[in-house]
Amino acid sequence: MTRVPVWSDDPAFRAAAAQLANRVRPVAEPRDAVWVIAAEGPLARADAAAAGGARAVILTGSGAVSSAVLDVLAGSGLPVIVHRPRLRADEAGDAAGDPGRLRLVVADVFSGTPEFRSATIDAIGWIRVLLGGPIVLRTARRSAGGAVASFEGPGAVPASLLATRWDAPTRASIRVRGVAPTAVEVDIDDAAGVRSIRSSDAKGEVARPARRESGARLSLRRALDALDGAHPGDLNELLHDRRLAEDVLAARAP
Amino acid sequence: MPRMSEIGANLGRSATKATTVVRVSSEAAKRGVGVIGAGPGVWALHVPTIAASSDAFRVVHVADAGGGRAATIAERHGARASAAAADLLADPAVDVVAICTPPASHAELILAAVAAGKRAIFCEKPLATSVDELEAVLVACTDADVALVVGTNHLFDPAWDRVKQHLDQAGAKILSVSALLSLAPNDRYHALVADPVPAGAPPHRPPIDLGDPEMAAAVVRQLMIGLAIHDIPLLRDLLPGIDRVEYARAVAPIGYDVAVSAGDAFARLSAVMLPSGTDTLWRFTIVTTHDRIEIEFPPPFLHAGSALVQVRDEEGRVVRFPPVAADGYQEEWRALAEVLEGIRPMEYEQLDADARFAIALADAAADAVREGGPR
Repeated sequence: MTRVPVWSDDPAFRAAAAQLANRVRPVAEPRDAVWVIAAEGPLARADAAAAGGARAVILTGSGAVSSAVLDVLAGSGLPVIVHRPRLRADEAGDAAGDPGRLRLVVADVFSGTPEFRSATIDAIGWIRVLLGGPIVLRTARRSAGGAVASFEGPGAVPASLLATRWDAPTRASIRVRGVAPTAVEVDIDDAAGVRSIRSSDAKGEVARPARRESGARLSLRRALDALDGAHPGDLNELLHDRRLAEDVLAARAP
Repeated sequence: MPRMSEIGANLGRSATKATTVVRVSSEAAKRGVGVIGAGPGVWALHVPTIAASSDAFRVVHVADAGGGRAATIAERHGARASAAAADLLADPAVDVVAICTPPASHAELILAAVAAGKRAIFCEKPLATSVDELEAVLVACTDADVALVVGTNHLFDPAWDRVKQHLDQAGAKILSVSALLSLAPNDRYHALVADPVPAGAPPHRPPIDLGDPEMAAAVVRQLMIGLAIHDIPLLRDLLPGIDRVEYARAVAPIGYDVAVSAGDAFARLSAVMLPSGTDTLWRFTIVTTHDRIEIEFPPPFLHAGSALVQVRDEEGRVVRFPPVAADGYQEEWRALAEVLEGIRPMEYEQLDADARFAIALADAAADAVREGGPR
């Protein structure tokens, strides 16, 4: 079996490669490999990937990545997996139930300044996941302490976001609840070590089993799936979530 | 979006309660309560609450204009029944009038009770639905020195006192407030606390069309006055100076989603009344400069102790306040007893400020819906 080369200096992805040793092999030479590109990396790396050096790209640090890098990747035609630790594809699949039955989606973010923007992007991503498709921004207001926004999803289901920023460098917390007879709640609190997806109806509450696979291994597996013909929507979803977050966070009071 | 007038400074709500026990030894010495209304708020909540836990009151009279339900409730508790509020107000055995009718009748019944010489009133929330009503009620009650308690049970929940003490000690600035209510059908809870009293035929109501801005605005206003009122006094304690409504909309099948700003802080009030399904969730979240405080109130009608409080600090440490057995429904009756005993001050100015705040917020939210805010 031919093992797919993976080019990364990220320890988490090198570990993931070791955990997929039957299917991948870490390489020092980037040519024709799956590249792991960090958001803080140079634009030249994305350019090089797009220019034919890579077979697929895994993008990390998606909240901080520049628009220029996203533009390059979007135009490259390469399979792009976006590694979002607060919005994992497997957990998104767990949370996506029957979006047509949701009556309201309510999202809360609170975070220290360093992660505030990326957490806001991910919270919008969770709203999109629960509502089952793209959402539209209706109103937004930003203040020094945070932001509030209203959205509509498919079927005109309303959603809202309340994002609160701490001056302290606390890690991000996201909670999103889909209000419906069968409710779903996503709770991610990095500092408190909370990560849960629960649904509830008249019979009681069900907690989804914790996803124990490392996020890096999941992203690497998804990159392999993409090479086998899967069509991940990660990049378009990230662009959607970022655009809305930028609109929300730019909406200063008059 | 409409701009709200400044509501004014927090007047410093008294937080002296929960430690004093009012006890009256004999049944005959208890004050007689006349209850106006015969809905679930009466037979599943207030009448059993008084019978089970109050050492200061006993139900002596129940009045309701329709369906004979008052007689059923009264018979269970050895009280008289009548088909008109006037009969109850003329009953000399009634020392305390409990007004548990739909909100639009509250002010009129308070005025009637005062005119009938009653000097103690328990009024279900809201106290009034307009400023004119409010002013008339408070003038009458103040002039007659009436002991008046409004049944804002979340405000009386012992957990709220703990939270306020925590906030005062921390000296923290409020950054945001979020109140989320996912309300299961109430009859699920009625049956857990009392034997049901058969309801009469429901009043005819026109179909609700939330696509009609006027109707959507009316629904939001009514829900703010009648449902969000559980949390609005808490919001006023935290953010007394609301600047503006950022957005407001009705939510199907019946609900609201409203956001306001107060300086740099935001607050969001959201509720959906669901036809079936998951248990009620009533969550009130406060983010301060020091921590995030989450209060989960029990479903309505239940005596499940105080709300659950969890404080998460900036390092991710979580502290849970121990709940106590008393709940807000019991405490609001205890508060009335304490006012009557002279243990607790009668704070008309707090009732006035709470009601004005709620009415202004409801009006501004309705205006935002009417003017084409998002739905």
